[in-house]
Amino acid sequence: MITFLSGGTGTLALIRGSRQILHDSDIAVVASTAGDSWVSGSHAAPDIDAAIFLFAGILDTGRWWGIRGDTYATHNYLPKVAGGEPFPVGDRARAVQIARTNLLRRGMTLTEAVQAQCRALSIGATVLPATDTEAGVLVDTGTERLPLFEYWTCAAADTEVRELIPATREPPVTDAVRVVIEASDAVIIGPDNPARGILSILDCAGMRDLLSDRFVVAVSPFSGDVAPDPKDAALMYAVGEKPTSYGVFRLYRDAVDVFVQDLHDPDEIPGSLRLETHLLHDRQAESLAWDIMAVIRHAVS
Amino acid sequence: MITFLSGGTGTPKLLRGMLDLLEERDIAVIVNTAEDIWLSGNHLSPDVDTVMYLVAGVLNTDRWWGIRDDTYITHDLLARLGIEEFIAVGDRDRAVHVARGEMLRGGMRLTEATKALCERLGVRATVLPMTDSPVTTYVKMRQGEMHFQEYWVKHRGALAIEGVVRRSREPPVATPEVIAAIEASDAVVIGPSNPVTSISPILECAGVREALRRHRRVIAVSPFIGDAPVSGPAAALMRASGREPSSAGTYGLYEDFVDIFIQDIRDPVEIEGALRLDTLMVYRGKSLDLAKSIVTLIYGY
Repeated sequence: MITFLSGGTGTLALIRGSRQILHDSDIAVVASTAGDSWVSGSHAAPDIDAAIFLFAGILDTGRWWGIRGDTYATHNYLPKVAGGEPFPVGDRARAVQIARTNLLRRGMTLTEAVQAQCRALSIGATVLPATDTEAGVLVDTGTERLPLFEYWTCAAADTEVRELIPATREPPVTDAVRVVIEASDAVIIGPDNPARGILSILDCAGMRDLLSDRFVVAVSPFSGDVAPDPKDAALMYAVGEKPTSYGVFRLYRDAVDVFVQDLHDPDEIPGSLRLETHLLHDRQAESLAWDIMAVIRHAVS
Repeated sequence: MITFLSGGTGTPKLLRGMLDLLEERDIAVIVNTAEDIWLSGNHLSPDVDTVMYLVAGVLNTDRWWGIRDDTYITHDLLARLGIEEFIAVGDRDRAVHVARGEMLRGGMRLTEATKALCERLGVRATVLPMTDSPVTTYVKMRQGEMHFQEYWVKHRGALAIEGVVRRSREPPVATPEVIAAIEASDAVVIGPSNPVTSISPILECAGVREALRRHRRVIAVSPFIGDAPVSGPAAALMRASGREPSSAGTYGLYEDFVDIFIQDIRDPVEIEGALRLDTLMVYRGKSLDLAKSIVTLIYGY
């Protein structure tokens, strides 16, 4: 079993490549809840949904969230009736949110609700929220506090990010996460911006201890060859680091055994493994997955 | 101005004729809200929506609720995910529920939320919820109580019922807007809506009966021909609430304030002083004919 920590787009791309190598039943995804918020009366969990949609074969891989080919009848009608939503919720994605909210209202934990949804969509992989505690992150822009996912999808590129404020600090990691990580040969942190979700997973109480007993590989989302996206940069500065591989390494170094950076990354990080980390198409993701699996096999055998 | 008291089917059919005849601004509609329900995280107000959609010209007049040519993408996927919404909520219809849900969650009164929705939908008639506080009609059965919408929409009224009850945390009070509309009207018209579940909830709002008693021109249209209602579940509900399911039973509910009582020309029940008109509004022309007769009664030409 391999567990991925996912909170953004890069890990999803890497998981997609890994599915060419691993059975879905050997994959677990611990998804960040940093992007969770309540939208139009239901529970939006973009990172959890993206993972579920990926395994269901319906993820919109153009933007790495939402459902491919979804329609927006409700969302588009809202402005006509004095309403509006912070980001476009598709009609099908809305059904998934409503269904999950119904399960939560019946008293299920988020983990139980997500597991029920995975069964409903016949998903072979295990998808788990990092925590059952409401831990959505707000972005303090100096003038307002935006839910993280709203900031990510809709805020202007030059929006200031002063601080990231989680609803709960150090929420406890769930038993289900504990079980899958303890059963995993390795844990992979994909090339996501840490500040967008991975840090929220690592900050769950008990998470770093769990990882210290596992073989952990992390891939840097920055490669130094192009200027990082302004929002990626703003989020990194908000957690006190530069938007570089070294900045990511500093955030992860206690937890990680192998740090992977791109072949052409000018940052010199001692002991890092150099691989082609651009995941522009599926072949590249599959190739990176092969390389990482080889490292894992070598390390844990 | 003419003020109507309306539920979800009979009175809207009369309003359809009135809208052809009168200036929209001269119409006010006080609407039953005792069938309101929070569904899938948002606020459904079936009778308010029917009236609003009718005036806006978007009502599905095949079934007298919902929006014409709506899609059901969210509703259908919810069913596949194991969540049965008891009523088929269209995607655009859902946008209205979402907008209203958000406004109510934001602390707005139902009256204000309805006004905002009406403005955006281009409704110039005044649509007024009977009260701003929640009140709900339940039907009593041997097994317990059931929300009226669930009884009527989900079970199609095909359950044995023993009574009709209204539940509310605080006794419902008519809004100032409702009383003002009645007082400012040349006439108040109670259309052929269900007396027990559509009109009685309005009459039970503190202030309404008194205002109607003070008014010198209150016109009511019976929804019964013999012991059969023109449409809807009125007969069983009348019986369950200890009333004869007929024009006589209806008159008994209204007699303390009604000035002109209209019965269908085919109705075998004799009510002294009642006016006989063709009240079967099976198509648009019939609605218009009845509307014309009533307007003539009010204004004398």
